[in-house]
Amino acid sequence: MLIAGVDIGNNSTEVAVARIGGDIQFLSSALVRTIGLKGTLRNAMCVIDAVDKAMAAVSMTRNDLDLILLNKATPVIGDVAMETITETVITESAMIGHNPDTPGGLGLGQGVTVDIRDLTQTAPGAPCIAVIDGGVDFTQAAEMINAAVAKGVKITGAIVKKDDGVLIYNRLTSPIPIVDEVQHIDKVPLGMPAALEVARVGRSIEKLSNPYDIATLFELSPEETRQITPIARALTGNRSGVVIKTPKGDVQERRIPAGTITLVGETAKETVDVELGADAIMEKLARVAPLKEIQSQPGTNAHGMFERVRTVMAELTDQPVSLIKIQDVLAVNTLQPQHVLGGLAGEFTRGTAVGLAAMVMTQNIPMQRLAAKLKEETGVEVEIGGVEAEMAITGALTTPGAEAPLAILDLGGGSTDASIIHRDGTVKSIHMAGAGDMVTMLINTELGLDDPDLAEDIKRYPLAKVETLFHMRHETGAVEFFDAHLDPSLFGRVAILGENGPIPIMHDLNLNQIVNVRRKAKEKVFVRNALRALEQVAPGGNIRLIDFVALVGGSALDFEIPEMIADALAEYGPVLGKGNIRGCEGPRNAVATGLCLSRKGC
Amino acid sequence: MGSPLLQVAQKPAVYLVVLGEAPDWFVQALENGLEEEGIPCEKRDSQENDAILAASQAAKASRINVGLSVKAAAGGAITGVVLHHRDLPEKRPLFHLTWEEVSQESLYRLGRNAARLVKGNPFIMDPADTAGPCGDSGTKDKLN
Repeated sequence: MLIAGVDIGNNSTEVAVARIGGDIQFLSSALVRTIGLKGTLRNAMCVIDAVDKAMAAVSMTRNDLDLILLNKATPVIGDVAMETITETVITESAMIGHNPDTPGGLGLGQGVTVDIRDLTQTAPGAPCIAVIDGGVDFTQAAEMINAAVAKGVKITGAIVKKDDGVLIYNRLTSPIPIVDEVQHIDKVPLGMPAALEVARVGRSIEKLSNPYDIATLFELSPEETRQITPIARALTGNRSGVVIKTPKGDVQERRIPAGTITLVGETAKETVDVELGADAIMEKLARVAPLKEIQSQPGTNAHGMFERVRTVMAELTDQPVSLIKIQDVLAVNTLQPQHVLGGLAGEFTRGTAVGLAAMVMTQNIPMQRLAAKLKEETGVEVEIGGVEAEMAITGALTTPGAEAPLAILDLGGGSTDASIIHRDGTVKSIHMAGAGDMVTMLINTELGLDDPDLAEDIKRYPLAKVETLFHMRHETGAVEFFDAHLDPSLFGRVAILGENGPIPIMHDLNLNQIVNVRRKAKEKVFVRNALRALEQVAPGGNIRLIDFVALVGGSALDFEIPEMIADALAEYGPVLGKGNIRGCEGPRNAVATGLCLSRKGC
Repeated sequence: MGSPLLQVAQKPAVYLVVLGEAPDWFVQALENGLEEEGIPCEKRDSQENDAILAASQAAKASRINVGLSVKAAAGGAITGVVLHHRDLPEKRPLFHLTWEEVSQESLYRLGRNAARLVKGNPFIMDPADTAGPCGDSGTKDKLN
């Protein structure tokens, strides 16, 4: 009898084809991307596709099959959301905090902003900062400044629209710091007190990144100093910066309460303020576990976040929002770039935020309908096989060197699952919110990419810095040389080493920054969930009592996650590694293999 | 006078070769680009008639391995501006601006990119051409 075991996951659908009689012989396997939410009719397409692929590999068609076995998909769906929890502050000052490659001059300048054309009419002695728009080229600008200086006007700095700060600086009789590449120079208010700073090469500004120095320069009150803080933070790490004090009246401060959430467990109930951060939430969560529902205070950021998750889930599962109950959350602390109001070049400051993955148990997944549809489409008998967690364990046990008691960690896209099989064959399993998708979201927000596809690539592949036209330095430090020169668009940039060659990252981010964010995101989600999940399935909640742990699922193929989990689990002592299903599939295909094995001897 | 080594050593600079009678403004634009990036530029003479080969020779002569050439036909019409690097095959420059692509901005950008090639900084893209670097749309065709 020829059977196909099919595992429909959140992100990928896997197939194993086997011939069973008294014995079992695996013939082939295949993997495709899941289409539609798992367990829905839309899956039919990708299931057929995967089956065809596996059969074609052994020169057969789906008509040769006697049976298709579907996994009893766990009705668990994960989603991710992010909410800034720090207050949104609108400051009364304007700032320029971008990082031009080549500012001119050095040092700190302070004075009133004056259009360069009006410089000669400015009273001598009063310090001023020249504002140079696109209509004045560098030769003219230098001449005008020199002429004004000759008349006794005290010019302490210049703000320039075009990228020619160095050219102007080189033509001045008396040197001043110059910030250039200010796109929205028209937004720079004239006649306002301003301070401007340019640091030397390789350094970042010191005065304008310190709220107290800004307070000193502008004689600010403690209250005003508090308001200027986001500006100082946004300027931190830049080589140049400008702060302009705009008149009072524009001052407006807005606070959005982060809000509280109430975690309802089976026996206990805890309320926690989201402002306390992810750790506080997770601590309370552990206290009320198992979680039954989460309630949030209407009109707050937290409420908005949970409502979004619920709405998405309701749409996906075609159920009323009121029926959607959140069964697990993973909260992580993260930093989110926040627009600085008053910034003249789209400046951002990093605000603290809580990222949240939520997991929902759906009432019923219409697997029977999917099975019927598949039967109709393929003409092959379709059955729904055993429980997913048991199938996964059965599959994982085909890994050479593994034996019961064995725990598996299924690192997927939507959820992290753990199961354990004891010597007597009993299986215990748990589903955790937060997996690959959340890592992608964290990378996307923390790096301010606004491009989930790029974040996904950053998650999946290592990086390298292209140092010359002919060589790149990998993030490990290794250097790779090329015979032909690399594409000029890669030169000097950080590149993602994807399967189809290097992809340049156009954002102004350095390699270490990206690597740090990527590794932290994986740690916050996968390492944390691995420990959380194993604790729940381990005998007596003690991970030390587990001897073998096998990693399976798509994210187990990641180039660094298995290593990170191994490091975290080292102190507990289990044998940990990526599963190698049937000795040939690696960490993939566990459930599909388990499904076939469950029919062994039939 | 001095040690022989010092006599051989030249000032590190990007070498710029002007063939024919190029108008001052575009040589100036290239030089400004280099100056903004803080990399010295030095004009060199060449017997070469081909702009690409001249740039290649300039790059090989330069201590920082980058050469520029500008070729102008009689009357000052520009026929080509080339950015070359020592390690590239002689006939395959990194960027080659044709007459139609030459403007104050593209020359300034090419000058800056010459400097950035020395510094290892990413090239400045032509804002109008998101697909390729610099004002050299079609460079790839010329490279291959």
